[in-house]
Amino acid sequence: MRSVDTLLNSVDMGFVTLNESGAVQACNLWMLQHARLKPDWIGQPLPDAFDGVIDPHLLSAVKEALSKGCSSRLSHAFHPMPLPLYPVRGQDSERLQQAVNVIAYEVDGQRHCALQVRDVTEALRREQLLKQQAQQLARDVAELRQAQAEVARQSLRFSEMAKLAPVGLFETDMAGRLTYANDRCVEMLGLNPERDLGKPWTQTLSPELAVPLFTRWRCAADSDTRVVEEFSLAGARHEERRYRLEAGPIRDLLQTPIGIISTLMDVTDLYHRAERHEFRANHDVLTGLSNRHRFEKRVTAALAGAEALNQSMALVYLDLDGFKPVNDQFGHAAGDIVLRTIAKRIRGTLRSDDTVARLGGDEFGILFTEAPEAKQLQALLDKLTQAIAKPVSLGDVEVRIGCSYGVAIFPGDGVDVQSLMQHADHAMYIHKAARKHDLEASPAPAPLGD
Amino acid sequence: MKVELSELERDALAEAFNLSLGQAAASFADIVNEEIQVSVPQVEIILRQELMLRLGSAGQPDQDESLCAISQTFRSADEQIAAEALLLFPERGGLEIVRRMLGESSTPLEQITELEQDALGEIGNIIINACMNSLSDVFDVEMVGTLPSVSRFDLQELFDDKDGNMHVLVAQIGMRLSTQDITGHMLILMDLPSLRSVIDRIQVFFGLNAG
Repeated sequence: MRSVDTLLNSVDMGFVTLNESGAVQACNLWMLQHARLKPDWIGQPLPDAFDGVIDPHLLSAVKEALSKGCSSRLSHAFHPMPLPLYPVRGQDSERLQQAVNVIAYEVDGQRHCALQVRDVTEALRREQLLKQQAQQLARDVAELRQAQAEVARQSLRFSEMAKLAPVGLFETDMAGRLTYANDRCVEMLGLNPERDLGKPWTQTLSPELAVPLFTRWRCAADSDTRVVEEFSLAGARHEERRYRLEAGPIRDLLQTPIGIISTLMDVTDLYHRAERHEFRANHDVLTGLSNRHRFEKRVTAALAGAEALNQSMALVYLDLDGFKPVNDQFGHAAGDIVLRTIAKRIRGTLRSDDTVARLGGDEFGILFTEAPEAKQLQALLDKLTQAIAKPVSLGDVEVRIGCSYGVAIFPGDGVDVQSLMQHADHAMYIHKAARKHDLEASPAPAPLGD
Repeated sequence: MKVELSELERDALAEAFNLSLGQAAASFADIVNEEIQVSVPQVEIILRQELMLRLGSAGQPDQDESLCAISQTFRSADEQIAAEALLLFPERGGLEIVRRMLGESSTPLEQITELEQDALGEIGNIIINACMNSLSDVFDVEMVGTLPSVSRFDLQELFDDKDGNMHVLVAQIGMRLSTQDITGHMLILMDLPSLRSVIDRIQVFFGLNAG
């Protein structure tokens, strides 16, 4: 029996034995440590041996065990504290959370009963923690699901938007390999998504276009700047189009670039319109020559160049003689033919780097960025006069037009645009007056033929 | 030897169990403050093989689902009857009924915890003790039982170590708590001499052995 006592005293749970009449017989060491038994507890009924209230379910389980031999379990969940038990070093207000087994057994033909008590305080704490964590986890999972659903919705929204977008959209990794292209982009670059994803985005372009374009694009991407490029591309299914490419990096949460997103806009119409506008702004629509605005800009630029290089520069003003009567007699359409024909003749007589402009009405300007020798210049002007003087066919009739001119040489005749132009203008009037005098002396040039 | 029960015997046993289960239901109501309905059990003696088939089909939509068993062994005071009482629930159903009784239906834990298993043990213990009490009245002998032990296993493992041709006294029990329905099976496994003794005693008790 001694060894049994030692054993019972060494286990980490409480034992109480009751005899056939329900009187407490013995308690193990654990029970003595955790219960506050009354001094004369041995031989007392259970409620009298302990110092506090005992759960009636426990008392009826004990009764059942002694009367019917039923063993029962009183779980903590339904009976948190059947016996008044306290922690070894705890406050009076603290109570041990317990699970109690009531075991019926027989001694010498008599029904006895044992209470086996486990302290489940720690198990309870762990399980509550576990449940809290599980609830937190469930909430986290729910949030994550919601976030995933939101991402999926956004992704769907984006892909729909990308599909409907009038611009080409594509995404590449940092090395320029395609990771995404919308339908418009596929069409613009002539891509085959299955074949070209994972390859450089310029894959389908001709090497002459692809190599420099890709190089510039890479440079900008590597230096982390936005790319803006324009290029023309003739597709297999369409005529040449002008595209404007803009690209910028996509960054992850740590601001590290993880790819490049690019847009492609078809600017063909804009481009052509801008070209037309620019031409109109600088050219005379009728003759295709430079207009006064452009001529003055050229003169200014040439002047700066001549000054810097210490060179001379020549400016010629040329005014048609006898143009107004043609206009009056044959109408504006005929006048336009005359102007176009003469413009062509002037242009044809001069070198391509000499600037010829229609300054307005029947007035033209010529700029020689390097002034020819005086003799050469005179020869050129004579040649021009002859070319202009050739008959101009107006269909049924031919007309002859003459011209007067004035020359201004930099730096001799002036050192700025204003003074040079004035000088040339003035020289031209002197020439015209001299020619008028000559013309009055000889018969007026009349329309040839009928 | 006769190992079947007549219809009268089955009904009489069912009535006896029903009274006991009524007491068990009252015990539950006492500890959880919620009414628990227990249906009139169906009682019969069948082969273990047959029981396996039934457990596999009825109330067990998922063959792979684990079962939860609360078991206690009993022997009669006169040593003539030795029996093992098993209360079987689908594990999920058992878990749900325990959580509902504890008012913790929101716990997302998939597994039954140690303390919940204890509580399930107590529920089983109340049902088994109630049934065994009524049997001991019928048998006119005290049935002394051990503590319940709770275990989980797959259906296939239930009788792994036992002969499929042995007979089992089965009471099918339905429990209803709030909106939760759960069907459990109470099995009483006995060796042949015990079964013979049990049938004799049943016939004596109900006065059915005249024929």
